[in-house]
Amino acid sequence: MSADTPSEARARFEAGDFRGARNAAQAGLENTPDDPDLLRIAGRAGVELGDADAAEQLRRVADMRPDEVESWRDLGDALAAEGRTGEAADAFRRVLKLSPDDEAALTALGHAAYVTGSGADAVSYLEQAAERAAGASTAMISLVDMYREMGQPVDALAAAVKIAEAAPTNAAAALDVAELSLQVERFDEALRAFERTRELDDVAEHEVYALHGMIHVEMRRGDFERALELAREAGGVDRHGRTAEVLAFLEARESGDSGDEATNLEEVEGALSASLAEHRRLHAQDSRFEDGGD
Amino acid sequence: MPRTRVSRTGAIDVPEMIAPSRALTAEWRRCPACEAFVYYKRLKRNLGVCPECNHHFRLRLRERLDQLLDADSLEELGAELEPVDVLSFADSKPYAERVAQAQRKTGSTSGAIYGTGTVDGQPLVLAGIDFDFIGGSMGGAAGEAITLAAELALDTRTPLLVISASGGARMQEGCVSLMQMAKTSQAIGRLAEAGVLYISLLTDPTYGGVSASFASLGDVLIAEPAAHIGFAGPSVIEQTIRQKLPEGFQTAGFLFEHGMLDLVEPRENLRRTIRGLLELHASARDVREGPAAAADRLPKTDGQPPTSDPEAVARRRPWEVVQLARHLERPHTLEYLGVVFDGFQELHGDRLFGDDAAIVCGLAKLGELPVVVIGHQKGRTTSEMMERNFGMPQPDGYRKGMRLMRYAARFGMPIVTLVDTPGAYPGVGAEERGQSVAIAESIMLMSRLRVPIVTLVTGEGGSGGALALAASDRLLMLENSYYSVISPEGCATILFKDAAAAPRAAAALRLTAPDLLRLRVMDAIVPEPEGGAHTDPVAAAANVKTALVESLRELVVLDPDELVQRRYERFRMFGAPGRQPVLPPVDAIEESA
Ligand SMILES: [Zn+2]
Repeated sequence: MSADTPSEARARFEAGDFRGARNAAQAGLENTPDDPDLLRIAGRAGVELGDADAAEQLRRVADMRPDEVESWRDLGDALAAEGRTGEAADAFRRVLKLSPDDEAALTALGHAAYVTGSGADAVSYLEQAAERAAGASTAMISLVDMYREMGQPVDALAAAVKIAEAAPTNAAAALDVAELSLQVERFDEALRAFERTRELDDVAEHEVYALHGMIHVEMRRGDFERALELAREAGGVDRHGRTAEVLAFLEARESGDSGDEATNLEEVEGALSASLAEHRRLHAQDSRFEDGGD
Repeated sequence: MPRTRVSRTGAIDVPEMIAPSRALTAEWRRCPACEAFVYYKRLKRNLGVCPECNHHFRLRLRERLDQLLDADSLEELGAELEPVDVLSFADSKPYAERVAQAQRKTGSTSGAIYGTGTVDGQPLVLAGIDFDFIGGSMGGAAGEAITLAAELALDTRTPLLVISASGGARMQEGCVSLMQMAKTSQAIGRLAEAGVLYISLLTDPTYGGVSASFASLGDVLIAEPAAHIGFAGPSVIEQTIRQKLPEGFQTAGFLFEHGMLDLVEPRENLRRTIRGLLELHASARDVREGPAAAADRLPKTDGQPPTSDPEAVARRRPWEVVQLARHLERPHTLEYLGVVFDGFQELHGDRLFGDDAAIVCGLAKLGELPVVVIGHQKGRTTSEMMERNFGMPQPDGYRKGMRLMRYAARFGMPIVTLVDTPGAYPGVGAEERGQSVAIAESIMLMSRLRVPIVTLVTGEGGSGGALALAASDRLLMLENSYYSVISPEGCATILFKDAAAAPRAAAALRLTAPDLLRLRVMDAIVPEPEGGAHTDPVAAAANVKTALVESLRELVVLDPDELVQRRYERFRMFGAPGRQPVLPPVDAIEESA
């Protein structure tokens, strides 16, 4: 092993050349099989490359250097990557012992808790993680969903607002704010957020969903005149007739023809809620697993 | 009140399922299907497939290429391609602004990729549409990338892989966008004429003008499970027919069932499947264009050779032969495929209606020679027999077979057919879809194909349903198989007015291999182990292999014109005065059965 093998391996790792980093580290390990620096780089690169023995290498590092936060964080990362969530949680707990503010550990423990069914613990960990991170952190993103599921729309909205502020061009984030604002009856905020989704959504066909949201807001706060205007606009961009029912209802109401109960308010609101759910589903379905580009 | 405006072309219909990506970085991702939180690195290791529910996340095009291609093998071309605002189009935003926004978001200028790369060292030309770029809609630039890739593949005679994900044609480029369907299709047409392999990978979602042009024109069409593929978007259809669509509508599984896809492969198999196809086609090209002679690629075999002497095989009563031919444990096409051939890659679907399991087709190697194999398939267990319809094909089965015959001709691959059917299926649906037409067309197609065709009757050779796979250069029969214009039972009922007279009818029909050899209907008998093929399938398969290799060795050296002419003469003689041999009366032993 040349004297600079660890630094070469590290440089490759930092440059994103995981294969090169692993090969350099493995070459060094042939001479010094217990070198913790080389094991660490081989293990970290192995996690990125999906190597089967990465976790084992990193466990050896943790055994040799139990007082280093990195050791346990790396091990937790490797175990989580293998889907060994329980063992990963153990490793991340060791991280917290050494470094109580560690965001990655708090985030991981939050998700691990959620997986094992303890929603309250999950939220507690993630709230701590979110406090320590800026903007649209993983913890914050997951909190929106978790709060929503736990029936805490006000908290969900607060989290969604932070994400939308951190990712101002993200249509899905704006949509979360719009939906949650409508749910908690903050109508001005909801209207602004729906307008923003209309602006941000780069699929022209989605304009109708944003308009439906705006109609919904106006109806909920009793401005049926404005709702009718918006419905006419929505009818113009709606290629699939989703607005017909809403428009018919609002026109009938406008002309005082309330005798026609064929479509009642409840049905129309139901249709608008369905439209919103559909829009959300489309965005969820479209989520990629890689890092996004926004 | 504005009426529902339903696009009836579909081609310019961008379905509603398209949405911009959430695109927020997160170390834990939520599965949209099962709502599990999954650690990002675990998901990545799993190729973007949810480990909890197997949901295939949509991939960015780059990530897809990383998964499929050899590391660092991608050479990108077409940097100059860029969407052009040919109509000066504006909806709520000017088109030019939408393009600029998409370019910023994706880092791609054109919204498509084309270039070259390798899969396990096998070279290919590739193109792909980036779904994140205005919903993957096909405008001039994307059409150009596909077309340039096809032209490069043609010029260099390199296989083409196109990866699609698209909402359809791009409305903002109007009819110029529509014309991309024609432009790309004609480029693919030239590839097909030249016999250059084109693999189309359809990913979630592929719709409209893309699915209705190049994406559906692959020699092989592959999709991932649950990918949505269709012409019109589901809500357009729901609005038109005013009915809720069933679960699974327009998924890859749905299309596969309806014969529209060759393969539905989980993401983890894609690279291996594509590599296998490329390798096999590389061998076929070597045989066709170059250095390797087909005959040299045939394997050495050690089975018992076939015989053209009718006296050389054990003498059995015809009815006994019929029973052996129908024996439940007799080896079927798939068993022979596993032993006689290597690397069988089944291909499915007739691209018209269905995938008939009574006929299996695909690519395989006989020794080192790539061939197309088509055969009837019976089942062994009750459920399998039902699924395979007891080896009685529907028209869809024959049409699938014809699709593969044309495939073989396109790539110069010899064809081996294995016949084992009681007959074509007599059913209402089969008649509605043209059973007669399918059989007739199959016979005619085979008679004119410019590649060698060898047929082996492995069990039952039931009439037209058998001949539809048997209008070939050589007809071989296993010793205990039969080939007949009608089943003995059918003949007994009609002509002997007595179903119990089937054994007599079996003798009268002269349906055994020795008699058919004397009639010159067939060319050689493949010996079976003493108790029949089912008593020692491996030995039977060795004999089958020897016989197929021997026939192909004689045929692959023939010039295609001569091949077709000889095939013509082969069938021309039947019933021709002075040329058709006539059998002496059935002897007493056979009659007494
Ligand atoms: Zn899932």
